[in-house]
Amino acid sequence: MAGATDLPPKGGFSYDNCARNAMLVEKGLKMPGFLKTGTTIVGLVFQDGVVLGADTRATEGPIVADKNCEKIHYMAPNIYCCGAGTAADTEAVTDMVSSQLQLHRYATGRESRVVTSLTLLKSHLFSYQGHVSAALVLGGVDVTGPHLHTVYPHGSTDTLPFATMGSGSLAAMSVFESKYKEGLTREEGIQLVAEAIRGGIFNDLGSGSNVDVCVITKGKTEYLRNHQLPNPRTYVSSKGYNFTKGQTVVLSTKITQLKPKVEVTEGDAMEE
Amino acid sequence: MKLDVSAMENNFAAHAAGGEDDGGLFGAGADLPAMELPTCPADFDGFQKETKEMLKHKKGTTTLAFIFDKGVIVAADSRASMGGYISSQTVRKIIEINPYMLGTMAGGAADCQFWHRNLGIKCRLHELANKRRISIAGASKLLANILYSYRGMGLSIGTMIAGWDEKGPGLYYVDSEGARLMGSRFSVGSGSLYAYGILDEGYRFVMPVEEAAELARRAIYQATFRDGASGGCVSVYHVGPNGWTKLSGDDVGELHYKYYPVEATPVEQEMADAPAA
Amino acid sequence: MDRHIPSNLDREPNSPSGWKGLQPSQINAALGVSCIQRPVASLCRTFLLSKKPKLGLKSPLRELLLLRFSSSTSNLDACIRLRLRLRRELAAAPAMSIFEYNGSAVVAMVGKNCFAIASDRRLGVQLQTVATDFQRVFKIHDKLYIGLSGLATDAQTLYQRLVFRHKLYQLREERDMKPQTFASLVSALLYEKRFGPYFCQPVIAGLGEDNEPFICTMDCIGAKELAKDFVVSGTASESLYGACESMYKPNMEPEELFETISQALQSSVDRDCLSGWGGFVLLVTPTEVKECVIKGRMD
Repeated sequence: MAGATDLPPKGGFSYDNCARNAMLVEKGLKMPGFLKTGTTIVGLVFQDGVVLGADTRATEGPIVADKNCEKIHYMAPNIYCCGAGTAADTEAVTDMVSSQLQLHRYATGRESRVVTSLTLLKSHLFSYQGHVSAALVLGGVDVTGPHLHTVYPHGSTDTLPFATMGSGSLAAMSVFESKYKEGLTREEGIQLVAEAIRGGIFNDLGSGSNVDVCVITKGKTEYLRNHQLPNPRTYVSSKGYNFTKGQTVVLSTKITQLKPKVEVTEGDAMEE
Repeated sequence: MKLDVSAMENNFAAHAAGGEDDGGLFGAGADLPAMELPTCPADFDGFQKETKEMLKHKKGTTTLAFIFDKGVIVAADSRASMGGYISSQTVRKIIEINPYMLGTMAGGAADCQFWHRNLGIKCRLHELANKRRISIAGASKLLANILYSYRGMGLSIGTMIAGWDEKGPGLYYVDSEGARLMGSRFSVGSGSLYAYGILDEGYRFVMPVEEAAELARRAIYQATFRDGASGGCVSVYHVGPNGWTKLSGDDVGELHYKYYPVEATPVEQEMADAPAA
Repeated sequence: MDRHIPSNLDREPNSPSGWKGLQPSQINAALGVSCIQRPVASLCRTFLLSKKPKLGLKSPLRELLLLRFSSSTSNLDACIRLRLRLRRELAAAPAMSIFEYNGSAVVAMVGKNCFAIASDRRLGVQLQTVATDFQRVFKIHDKLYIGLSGLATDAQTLYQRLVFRHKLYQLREERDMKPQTFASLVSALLYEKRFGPYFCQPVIAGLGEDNEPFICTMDCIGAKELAKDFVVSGTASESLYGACESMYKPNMEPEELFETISQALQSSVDRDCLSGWGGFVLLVTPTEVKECVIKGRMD
């Protein structure tokens, strides 16, 4: 309970509304659906690092809620993580772990390791028994070399040379299975990842729009946001609709002028 | 379960018994519309409820009709909705069965339209056979009998049959549960409670036609205001000794501001307080 | 009372150990409900779950099957009561989401150095309209606003908590919150209730540093969705997506933005039973805030 004062909470989930919501459901109201990233996310290890890739569609039931969302999340300067599943969960879980990693770096002064973030992720997910529905592809390069892992919502993990996740994982995996080989160059790696994502975009209804790519090598990370735009908008007219002023009937108006902010210079405020 | 299919006026029964195997295309059954009977599971009650849930496409409606000294007034809104979505704002919910008789539509749109047309055919045939117009009582009973024979099979109809016959004005309420009620005023649909409120308050038997029409209009308007599933236009019909006439069709979007005129208030100007800093 | 038990008794589901992994059809089969619909199945589950202690159900499904196979009259009665109760609830329960209980439409759009946020004015209880002057857009500070669609009670509670948290921030930091920061606050507040959410879908719009407009929406557990053009939420959101997608243009001046958002809102709520009854539009430029009540259909 947050208590009467409602102070900033100590952290963790709050179950305050659960009893009420269960009552609403019992009365016959339907629980809402959440924003899902019906997704294609992939990753592969190439000769000197890892490449991560993702599509950019977010769905809410049958509706495309966001045509260009970001599914490759920052974990550490040398570690990134692709997320599939419930959008809020992937976002929250990666944010949480990335802040823990940051604190760990402050404490130790050393570069984060991929296994550290992997362990943090899986222990969080395992403790919620799959209710936190985040399916992740985690990739990074640390002092021990390049690493690629998949994390399942229940907390199990895999270590792989190439991995796919999300509703478009089958389409993407078919590309990887036929074309992946060891010792790919950077360019070949990016190309293969983009091709796998395109496989998801075009063959999976839950995935769509653009290709995001992230290339992590020793000491260098490149986030190629919207690396490819295979679905440009073609249906918009150049002029659009024009509304003349006064077309909308206004019943009442209140205008508030905003005063420019008064700048208080440091000297004035401090001297006394 | 034995169905009364006499209302269908064809050899449907023979079909059902498997007498002919032409799929009903060439038999006499093809002349008149007939519905295939669904094969019901053992759990008949459940089937009824579930089909009704499935078939309920058009739920929201407000319709009303009342008898007064100068005839019958019939009024309805014009909105068709599917769940929360408004699929049309220009539905004709008052069906003109013949020049002396009107039917209203609430429940399934397709069910209402089909069976009212079917009723129109029967009324005309009755007229040709008997050289006189069918009474409102007779017509409504024809419909009620058909609906009763399909009771429990998923039809969803709540209708009023209103008109003028040899005995004067007539008004009956008929629904797909098999009810048939005679009365002086009815309202049917999701907005009917709101309409009844206005109707009961303003109803008198002796009224000029204009006042009666305004009462009906107002009642439907109030229902469209309160009920999310009613709206669009208010159409008002009057049935007198010489048959029905359409008195009005008003867009509720304008009607509201006719009843409650608004004027744009002058622009309020204000300075914001200096920001806290 | 009908004691008839349907003939599909023999269709025992594949995994009678629990109800969780069951297909709706399996649950339906076990209950003798022949209509296969997702809401029906989920209602069954909820119902069984809620009655678990009372009926002493360990695995509700297995228990129900046991009940049905049992020859004891009292158990048979319990089973029939259960079925009838379910039937009643199924018939009574409209397939309605909690979001649709009060009805709402909220939209925000970005223009050139300005933004607009608009909402409808209806408060309903399902199809019944209760008020036509309901406020869904709230002020956080002069250049930051939040529109809360969904369940009205949660919208108001959430708003109060947000204002409280913003005031604490103002006291500590002696400045207003940036829209981006505020969005993160809302997201955190919603995600805290991940397993018992507020039934609200917020729309946040504000002017940030250098009067850069910012808009964003979230689902009810705080998954942020940042957009450069427009965001929508509420029961009319599907219509709003369509209207905004075709009416929106980049870099609109304040006057044109006002007309565009108003027309998009009006045309969308006119296709929705549960929202409308007038509109409220708020237009924010770096120098002034214009709040307008606009005329709309009242049906």
